[in-house]
Amino acid sequence: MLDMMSKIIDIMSNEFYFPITILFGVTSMLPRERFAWVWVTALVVVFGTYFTVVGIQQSQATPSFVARMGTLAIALGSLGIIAGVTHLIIRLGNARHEAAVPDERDHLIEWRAASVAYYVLMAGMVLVGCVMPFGNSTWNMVHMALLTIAIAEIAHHGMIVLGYRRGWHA
Amino acid sequence: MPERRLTNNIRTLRFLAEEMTQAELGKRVGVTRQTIAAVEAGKYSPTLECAFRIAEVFGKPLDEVFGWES
Repeated sequence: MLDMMSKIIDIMSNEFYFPITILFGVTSMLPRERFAWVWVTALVVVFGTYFTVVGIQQSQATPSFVARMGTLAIALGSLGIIAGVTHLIIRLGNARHEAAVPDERDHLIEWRAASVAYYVLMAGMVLVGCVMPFGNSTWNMVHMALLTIAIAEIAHHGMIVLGYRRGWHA
Repeated sequence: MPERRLTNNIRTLRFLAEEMTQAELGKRVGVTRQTIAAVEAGKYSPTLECAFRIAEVFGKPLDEVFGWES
């Protein structure tokens, strides 16, 4: 029964990518892929919320330094907690997992994902460091740098997921 | 240049080796079960070293395990 359920969830997660099944390990996904899924989802949700809040704050009045830092601290703190809890759950669930040590395919997927993320980060940093200083406020630059980091991280882990789902023809 | 792709007979060879599981093959080769599944499905082309190790497990020459077809 459990085996059949696991197979059904596996098919469903392959088709619909349920983050909950991914997090709690009811799939045949590798721990690394599982973490990538959770991290991409967390980044989109947390930074999506953060930039929405920042947009609302700025449209009403110029927020104080403390308010800005508070919002930023909540966003980064949430990400830290999500990363910590996810690592803990996955580690506990895979204490004796065969895939505890990455193999050649894992390294290749990681290498390709990191290459893509590097170029995303470079493009964003060129924009922040070379274009934005001419006519933008300091906080706009800070937000753009944060957005660049978030997009680069999403690209990195998104490419990891894609690498595991679609495969790489080396 | 015509497009060619790597093919393999791993599924058949596993069957002939008393239905060896992907996990067991992976363990003997030194990769994960998911990597063996990806190789079998043609989603991942293994390194030459990994390909030789797979062939070695089945006691076959490389060209009996892997093919290069158009």
